[in-house]
Amino acid sequence: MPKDSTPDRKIYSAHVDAIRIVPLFVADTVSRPTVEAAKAIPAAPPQLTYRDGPLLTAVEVFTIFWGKAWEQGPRSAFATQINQFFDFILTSPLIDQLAEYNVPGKKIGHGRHTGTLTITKPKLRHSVSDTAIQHMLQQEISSNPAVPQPTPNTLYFVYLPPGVRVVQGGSASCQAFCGYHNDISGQIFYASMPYPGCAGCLGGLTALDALTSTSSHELCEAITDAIPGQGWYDDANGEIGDICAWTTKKVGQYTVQLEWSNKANKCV
Amino acid sequence: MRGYLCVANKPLMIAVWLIDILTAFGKPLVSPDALSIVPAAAWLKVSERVACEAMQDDYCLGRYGFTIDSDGTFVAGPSGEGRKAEGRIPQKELQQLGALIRQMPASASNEERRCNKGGLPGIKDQIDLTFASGSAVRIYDLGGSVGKICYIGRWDNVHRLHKYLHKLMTRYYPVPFPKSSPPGATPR
Repeated sequence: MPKDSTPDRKIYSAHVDAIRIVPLFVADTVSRPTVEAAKAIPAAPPQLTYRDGPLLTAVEVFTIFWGKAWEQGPRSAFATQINQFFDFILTSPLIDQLAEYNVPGKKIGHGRHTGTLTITKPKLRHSVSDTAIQHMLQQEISSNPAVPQPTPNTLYFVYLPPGVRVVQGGSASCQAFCGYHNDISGQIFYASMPYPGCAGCLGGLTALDALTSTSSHELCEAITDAIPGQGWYDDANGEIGDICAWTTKKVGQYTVQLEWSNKANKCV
Repeated sequence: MRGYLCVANKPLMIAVWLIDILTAFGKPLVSPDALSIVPAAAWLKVSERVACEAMQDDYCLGRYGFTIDSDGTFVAGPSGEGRKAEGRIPQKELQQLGALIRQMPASASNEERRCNKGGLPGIKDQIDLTFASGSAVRIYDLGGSVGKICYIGRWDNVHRLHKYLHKLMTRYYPVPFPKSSPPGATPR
C-alpha cells in the first residue's frame, strides 16, 4: 500500500457551509406560477463546475464486505465478482473518460484495487446507520492491519448484505438511495453500498449488474467530487453520476453507468 | 429577622414559584415565529420534492414533486415526460395540514434561515410554501447545501409539517410512478 508522499497535504474542511439553493420548481398549471417559480424554470443543460476540492487522481479502492452472509456460498461468489469488477474497471475506458475533469496539478489516471476484507463484527442487525458505517471504518483503519491507512487516493467501498438497510436522518436505502459516497472530515473517502433488494435499486437488472452499475456511479462521483459538493458539481443536478442515473452500458463484461460529460454535453 | 422571614416564608415562595411555572406552561409561547403566523386562508399550496441518490426516478418517493393546493387537490408530478397523478385529499387531512401550515412563517424576510449538519450526499428533500400573495418560501431544505438541513421558523413546527406531508405523500404519491398518466389518481 503506497503511503502518502505529501504529508503536508492540504486539509479540506468537509462540507463548508456554502449555501446553494436549488431553484424552486415550476408551479403546476392549476395555480398561477409565482415570480420566483417562473424564474426557476431550468434553461441550461447541466454544467458541472470545479470548486477546488480534492480529486482521486489515482484511486485506490479497498472493498469491505460487512456481514456473515458474505462468507457463505453464493454471496461469497458474489463478493468475488465485485472484486473482479474493480480489478478490471479501474484501468478501463470508464476511468479514461474522466480525464476531461483534470484540473491543473490534478490529472485523473488509472486506479487500482488494493485489497478486500470481509468483516462480521460489529454484528449487523436489520439496519445500519451511516454513522455506524463511519465508526466501523475508523475502527478498522485504526485497529486492523489488513485495512490500508487512508491516503488522498484511498476509497473504501463498504458492501452490506441482503436484508440490511442503511439509514440516516430519515432517509433509507431502497427508499431514497441505492448507494452513496461520502467523506469523514475530508480525510477518509468511502462509498456505502447496500445490497440491491428492491425494484428501485435493481432497475430490471440482475443483482450483480445493478450493483456494478451503482458502484460505477459512486466510483466516478468519488473520483471527481471526493468531498461531495467541493469537486466537480452542479448546484441543480448534483454530480456526474446523478445526471445519468440508470442509463447503463457495458465496459468489458460489466454493466456500468453512463456519466455526464461537460465536453460532450451528454451522458457518455 | 430578615433571615427568619425568608425561612418562614419558604413554603409559600415555593408555592408561588410552582404556580408561576404552571401558568407559564398554560400560556402560548410568544416568539418571533408566533408573531409571523399567517391566517389559514393565506396559503395557496404546499409542495415537496425529493431527489434520491443512484435510485430509479420512478421509485423515488416525491421525485417528480407532490403539491397540495389549499382546496385539497393534489398533483404528483409531472415527470419529465409530463406524467402526473391527481386527486383530492380528505377534508380531515386537509384540516390537519392547514393547522400545521399555520405554524409556519409567512415570509423569509423577517426570519433567520437556520442550517444544521445532516442528510446524506445526493439526497435532497425540499418543501416550498406558496401564499396567496404570490410569495413562495422554502421552509425545509435538505441537501440544497450538501450535508445540511436548512429551515425557516421553529424546527419542531417544520419537522411536524415535513413528517405529515411525507405521510400524505406516502399515501397519495404513486410508487412506482405510473408509466402513463391515469385520468384520476386514487389514494393508495
